[in-house]
Amino acid sequence: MQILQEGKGELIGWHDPDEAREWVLNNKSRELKDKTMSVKEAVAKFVHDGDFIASGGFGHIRVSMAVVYEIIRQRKRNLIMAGKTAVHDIDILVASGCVNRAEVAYSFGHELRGLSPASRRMVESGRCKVIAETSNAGYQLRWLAGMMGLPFIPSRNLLGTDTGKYSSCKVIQDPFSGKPINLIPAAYPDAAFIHVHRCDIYGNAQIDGHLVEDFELSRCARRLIITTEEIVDNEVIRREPWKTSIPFLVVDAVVEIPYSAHPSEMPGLYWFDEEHIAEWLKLSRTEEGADEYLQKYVYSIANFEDYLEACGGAKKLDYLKRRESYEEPMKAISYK
Amino acid sequence: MATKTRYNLRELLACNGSKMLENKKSVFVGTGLPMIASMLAQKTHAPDLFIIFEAGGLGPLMNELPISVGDSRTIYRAISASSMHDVMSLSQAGYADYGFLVGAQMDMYGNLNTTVIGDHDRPKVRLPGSGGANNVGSFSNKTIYIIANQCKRSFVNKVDFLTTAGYLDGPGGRERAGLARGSGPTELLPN
Repeated sequence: MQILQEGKGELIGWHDPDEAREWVLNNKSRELKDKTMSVKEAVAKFVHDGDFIASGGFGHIRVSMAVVYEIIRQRKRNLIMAGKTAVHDIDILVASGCVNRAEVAYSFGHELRGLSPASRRMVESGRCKVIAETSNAGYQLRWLAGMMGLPFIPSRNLLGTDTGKYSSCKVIQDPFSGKPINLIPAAYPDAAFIHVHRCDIYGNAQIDGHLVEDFELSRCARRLIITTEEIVDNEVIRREPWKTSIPFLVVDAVVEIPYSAHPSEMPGLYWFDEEHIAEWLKLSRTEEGADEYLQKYVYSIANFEDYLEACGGAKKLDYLKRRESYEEPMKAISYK
Repeated sequence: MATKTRYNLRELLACNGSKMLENKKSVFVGTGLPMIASMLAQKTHAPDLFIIFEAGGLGPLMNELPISVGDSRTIYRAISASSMHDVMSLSQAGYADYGFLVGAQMDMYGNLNTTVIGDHDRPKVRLPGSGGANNVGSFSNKTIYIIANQCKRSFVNKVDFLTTAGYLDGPGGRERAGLARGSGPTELLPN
């Protein structure tokens, strides 16, 4: 089969399908066992320097921020991050020096709020390298191929573009139609972290609302940390098994932390903390400001509960809940 | 009662963008002005406009303007709160009549750049990247563009980086590259 174009992006997180299967056989258990632990323990056990990491959700929606902060607190280094639809998560991980390489679909921007000064500064000064480009579907397809135990999955994504040229994909001539088609390589992140609405102690998780890419990502990650708003009994899962988004088979740790997504949005529960994100965006325009933020909200804080207090506590959380359910009006805010 | 007769250019762009969208058709919406234009369309001449958001929102009835193409407002009274896989697959299979994108830089064949200004490996300015834009541009049948800043810098002969496919190198460019036959940008709304 003729290869028409090879992307010049670095291929990360790919494994031979037999190697991937053997890894699953040797490292993932089919046993229903209690996987609950603290976020400190989960990150210490499952996130290592040099890992290829991926965050569930959508960058500033349903992100496991408790894990993000813990990665920073434990000063993990040389991480490669999947800039899938990465927004706030990648911004502070790059700014803190934990992530120094990224394969980028969307990163270094805060959507409507504007560009992210801190991580952009790190990229433009060469301290964080973009090792490959892709698109949102590109990432989702990488997880899909990994989830299916395949070396690649074909797609009409990225064809003809520089995004494709700088990706790690390969274009071939489709033997059925004769037309060019793109082969998207599988990805198996070393560690992924996903925040969910409820989960039992074994790792069976339910997500309310849109899944984004978490169906696929949860099933291709080598190690998966679930943070959950609440732990529920296994009976809740068994009673309505069509609601299971992630089965315990693929999960390695379960951490119960209400409001773990803060300041990102938790659909159906609480809104973005725009005030907090604005504080970060304003402070992080300088390196000193970024350090000040990290000192205030991460390094000087022992646990996530204390962090929530520092962010305004019950009063703020109550407001965010009412904002999410439309009981409070939208408020204009400045990010500059 | 005072009648509002003044409007700004963004509002004009949103209105014109909204008029491009047909009732009972689908639109795959990117971040920014396209969200506003699509919401306006659904609330005015196109109440049956089927809006598609990349994170999984299929057919919401727009209520509050989303902050993000992936937030809870994109699934408000939706037909389905699904997944990116579902949205991208449906679009690639032909269910997205329109795509609607904002671009920083565009060239004469309608190719968009949202990745870098300058050299890719040592960029003058690093922009966020494709996000879902490459997919909207690849998979939608007809793509509508809004370029918010019409100046020499935004319209170039050749983009610094070809993030999202317009017609690539000219007529037939998309088909030669393997993209869907007959697809591509059809409208540009400058200000």
